[in-house]
Amino acid sequence: MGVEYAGVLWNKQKKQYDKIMAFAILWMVILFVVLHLVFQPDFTAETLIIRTSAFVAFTLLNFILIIGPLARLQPAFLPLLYNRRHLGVTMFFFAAIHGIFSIIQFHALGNINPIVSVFLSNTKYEAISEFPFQVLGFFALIILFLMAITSHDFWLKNLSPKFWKGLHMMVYLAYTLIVLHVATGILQYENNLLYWMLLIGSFGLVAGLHLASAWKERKWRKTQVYQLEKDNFFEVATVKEIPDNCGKGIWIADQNIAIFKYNNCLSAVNNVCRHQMGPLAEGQVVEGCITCPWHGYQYQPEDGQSPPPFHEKLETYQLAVLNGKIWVNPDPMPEGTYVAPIKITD
Amino acid sequence: MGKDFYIGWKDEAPESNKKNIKRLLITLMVIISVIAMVLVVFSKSFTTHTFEFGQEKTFSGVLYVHPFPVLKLDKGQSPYKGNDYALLVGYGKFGASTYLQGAKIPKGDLSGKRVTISGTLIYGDGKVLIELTEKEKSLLEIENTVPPSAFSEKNRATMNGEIIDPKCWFGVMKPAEGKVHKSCAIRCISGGIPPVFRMGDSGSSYNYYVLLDETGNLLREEILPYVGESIKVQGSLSEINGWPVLEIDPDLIKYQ
Repeated sequence: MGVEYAGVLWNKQKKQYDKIMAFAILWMVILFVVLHLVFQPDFTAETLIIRTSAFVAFTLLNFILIIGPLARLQPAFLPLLYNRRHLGVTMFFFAAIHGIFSIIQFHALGNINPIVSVFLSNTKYEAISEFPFQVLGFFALIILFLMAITSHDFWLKNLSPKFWKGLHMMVYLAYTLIVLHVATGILQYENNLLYWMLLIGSFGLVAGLHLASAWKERKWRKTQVYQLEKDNFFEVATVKEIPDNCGKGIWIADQNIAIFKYNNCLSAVNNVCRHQMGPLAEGQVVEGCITCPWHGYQYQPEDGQSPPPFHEKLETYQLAVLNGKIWVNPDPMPEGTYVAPIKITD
Repeated sequence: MGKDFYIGWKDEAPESNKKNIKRLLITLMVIISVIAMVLVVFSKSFTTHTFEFGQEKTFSGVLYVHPFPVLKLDKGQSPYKGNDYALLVGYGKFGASTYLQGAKIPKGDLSGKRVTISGTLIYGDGKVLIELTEKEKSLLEIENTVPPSAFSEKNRATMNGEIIDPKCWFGVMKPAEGKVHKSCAIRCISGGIPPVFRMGDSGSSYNYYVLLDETGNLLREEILPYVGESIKVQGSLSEINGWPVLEIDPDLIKYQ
């Protein structure tokens, strides 16, 4: 969390994350170049740049896209999520090298504008295998560019989290365009079955993990059936099932609620982090604050407000405890409203 | 407190997280290395064609301008013994004709004259090309006139292959064929580089023919839809200025 905007709010783990990322990318680049020197020594420098940047960018994009569902399925992988933004911007950098070099190589120094050439040199838009694949890559690069330049909390705040999230969800459109770009481009030339297996395999991995994560979420929601007791309070959990300083997420009357147990008390807030919509119930109460598992954003459990000087606020909910059972009123209180924590009595 | 909880802004991650991430990253690096190996080892081999980028040289010989510019090199200048006919191409994705017409030195009709030019060699598969890298300034000297080259007799032929742009194919780009290079080849041919029909299937040895229309002029826009595709053509074979040529009716081109 930061009060002021800075280029990057460095901390020890971000530095570590970036060092590992830089090492991995360097390894991929060196490996790809060495493999060419050994097995394909007649390459041209331009082709090597175009192919290496494509390999690094597409590998990173696949990795970036599996981080989300991986962390949802297994919280042990949450550290990968923390600084994913740097990974995304780096991926764009390599995608841009690929795109710009390809446009220069194949479309520049000709009798029409290079960008116009991307769209008008091959005009077989009606065909599948002959489709001008460059166009697909071009639009994907535009999306990745928009994402890269807005990959900062300044834009998250100023565009609003909802709009920002919507913009960044376009990565799935970009990914689809890139898969089609590869399928209708290089795989029409390098038609070895192994390449098709790799492309379909990577797409299957990304899609499969997302489906598994969605299935887990759906299964969880299906269990969220509660009986109304009285005065709009629903019995949703037992006190014992929530470990100390931990939360439980419930879905009731279209409300996504996180109930936390801490200091022998219970409080309930909206389950969606205001930063990037992380699942707060999967976080913990640390130093008296609910802490989001994704990026460590914090909220006071009793009023849903981020501790001063921060300004983020969540809706709060009224709770009651009867005979070791927790009851919640799903009508949200306005964001930041103080609701006295419920004391747990044996 | 419940199980280990990771917070990014804290100095240390829990040990269990570190262990899991380390294991995942090592596994991924191994998988990625294998994938890189597969991608490189199983990709189609590049040609051994050469573009002597950055090594401009001076060449002398007899210039033929029509129907496409060729310089018959003086002995010892061609990288291939027995083939002294270098197809001239322009800088970037342009043909050489415009540069020759726009040269500053007095010339008149250049065809059949001895000239000295500067340029960059492109060669492969027994064929030679010279890029007029300095554009109009590439034509350095014009000397005495020599007799024009004779055209050979024509024979009818039908053949399968692909239309390529010779500048890229003979060394400037790799790969310079098929779908991945189609747009570039279209730009090159549209810009005046003579289209070449490469006869033969991938992996076999090729024969090359400059494509002309039935009146003996270079084909350009008419054949662009077929560039980079597997096609069948029929026409008259002959040789002009040391280069095999194929005169065709573009309306009779068929996709294979």
